Amino acid sequence: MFETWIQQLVNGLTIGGMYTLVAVGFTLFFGVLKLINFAHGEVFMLGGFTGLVVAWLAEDLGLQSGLLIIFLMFVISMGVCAVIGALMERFAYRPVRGMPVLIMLVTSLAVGIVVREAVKEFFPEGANPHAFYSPFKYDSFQLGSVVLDYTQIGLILSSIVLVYGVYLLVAKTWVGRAMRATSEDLDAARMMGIDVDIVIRNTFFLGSALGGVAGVMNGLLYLSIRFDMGWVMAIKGFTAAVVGGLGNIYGAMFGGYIVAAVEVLVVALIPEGSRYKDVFVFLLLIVVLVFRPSGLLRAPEKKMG
Amino acid sequence: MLKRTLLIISTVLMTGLLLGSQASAQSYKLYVNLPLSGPWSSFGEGMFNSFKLAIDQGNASGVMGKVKLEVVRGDNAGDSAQAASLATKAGADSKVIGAFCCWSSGLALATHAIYNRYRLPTILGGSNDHRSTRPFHKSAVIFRNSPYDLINMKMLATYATNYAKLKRIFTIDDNTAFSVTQVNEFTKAAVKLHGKGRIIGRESVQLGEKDFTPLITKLKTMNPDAVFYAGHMVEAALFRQQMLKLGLNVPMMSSGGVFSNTYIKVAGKASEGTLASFWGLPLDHYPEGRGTAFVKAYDAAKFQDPFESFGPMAHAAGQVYVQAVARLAKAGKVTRKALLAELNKGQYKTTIGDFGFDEHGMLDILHIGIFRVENAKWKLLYRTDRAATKFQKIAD
Repeated sequence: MFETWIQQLVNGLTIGGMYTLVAVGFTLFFGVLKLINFAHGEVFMLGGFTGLVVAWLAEDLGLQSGLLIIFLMFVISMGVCAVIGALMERFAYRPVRGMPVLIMLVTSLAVGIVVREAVKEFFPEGANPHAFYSPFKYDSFQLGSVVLDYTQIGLILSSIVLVYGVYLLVAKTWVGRAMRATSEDLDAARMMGIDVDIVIRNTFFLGSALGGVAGVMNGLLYLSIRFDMGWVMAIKGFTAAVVGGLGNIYGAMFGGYIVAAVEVLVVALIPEGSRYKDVFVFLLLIVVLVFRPSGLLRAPEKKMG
Repeated sequence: MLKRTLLIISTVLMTGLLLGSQASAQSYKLYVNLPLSGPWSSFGEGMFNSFKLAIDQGNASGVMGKVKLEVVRGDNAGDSAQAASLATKAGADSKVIGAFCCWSSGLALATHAIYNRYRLPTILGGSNDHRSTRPFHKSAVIFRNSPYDLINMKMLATYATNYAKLKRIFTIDDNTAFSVTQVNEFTKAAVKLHGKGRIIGRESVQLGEKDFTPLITKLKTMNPDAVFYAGHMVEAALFRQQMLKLGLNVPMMSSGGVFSNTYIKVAGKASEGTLASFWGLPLDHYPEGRGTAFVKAYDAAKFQDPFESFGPMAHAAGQVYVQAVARLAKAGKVTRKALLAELNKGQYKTTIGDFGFDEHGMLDILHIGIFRVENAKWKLLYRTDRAATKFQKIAD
């Protein structure tokens, strides 16, 4: 029984790590632009597809080293997603910047649909799920009766390291200071000489690159990707970010693990609980929005970082 | 002057020819209502292409005389509201004489009354829920060219308990109408055969879910000797991979939402041993090499997406329409009413065999089998009769 709970803990940490990587993007966009960017789920999906294309090319080129291929998948996916995120900002969000939040929200939904359907139409067999490349495909090991694999460990560690890295960037560097200033008051930041366009572009660059990491990680972990996988992850990532506190980097991680913990506990403890697991997650979202709208970790007066 | 006269004469002649050709060709529409985007679009695209292929072949053959059929591409995105909207649009268009819908059982349930309201003959491709057709509703315009879950779930339950001798089966649905009904009917059939003890529990997952490890960890503690996963292929592939990873190495049974080459491709090695009850046969089992001829024609048409497991049935539905309309064209009366009457009485020669529709609109031949993945291919193990009582062994 004890080992079953340890296994459930591992399961929860893995799911939470994935939600965290997506939630950080949501929290960055909201922090700087007050934008709930639902297209971030599609950037996550693009990260997975880019990683797959890189793996195909690497195999065509005869690359043998699995670790090198994975490294290339991460680097190139981050780059591609960062550029696509920046392009989204330039051509979709900048024209509606300053308009009511609802317009920006609808714009993000529309951008998401365009990206999703483009992959479906133009990627070879885009409507179909694709098996993902992984050198660790069937490599798992046991500690007692607890099963672990390298991708799970990589995911849990990378989510923690990346969140800490983003925190350092936002809290300790000039770039982060400009982001925080823009988040605080866009017009005041502009008057202080900050080029807010560049700050916002950098934020999209960073958040989308993290989406790319999450997309590749998702492929490595679940070994398949599909054009419509972004939406569910966007909803869960958004929920995690809100529960932790939109605009708070650590809040995204905290929210990711809380959402994962709720899912695991409901499945493990309630008979036929898997049916209700999303009900409980969204109930948590509603409770947080009603009683602590700034999130569990975010003091009402605090902003990014 | 001569030049101008010639120009006027040639213009008049050309206009006359154009009008004449329009008057001589009679064009009617067949409205497709399938999931061409969204999570089920791989099935939908394959079905659309296969259906269109049959219509294109019919138009090219000249079998319908001056009548031409046009296929309207309707994308319901796997959503019942959109499917209902498309059904209404099809019904209201007087040029539409028939429809092909829906793949998903839930969408078939959501649209049958609409098609009936417009008296628009509709062939269901794939929708396995028995409630999609008569006598479980009164919409007399609905036909199906595949059998329903009452038969294939009875077959699967009989196979699982009597042939595979499974004693502790855990069932999982994915909350769709199709999946919930599959588990309901499977459970009813298993309980009828052996009492309640064989089904040890039930859980539900969500479409789009990727991580089933908490559920599988829980299942492991219950020691099932098989899991019946009545959902759809992507989630099933992930479920199977995670079952094996966590050491739950027992057979996984499935059904039409999983029976697909894409499932094997996505699940990889983990797919080996997966069982499925499916309402179709391997293509080389269809009569007179028609299955392989279909594959050849599909390949030659160079569609982007594969025809998937429901392609042959969709092609057969298109062939039914072509042959029915050809008979109506010969009689000089191509209308919805005439087409409905023709579907009710006609016999049709199709890719999946020669058949007609019975008094409830169900095809009167039965292709249903138990398959198992072996060496990355679905291998047919057993076939059954219409009552799912006699099993014909095909392979071990």
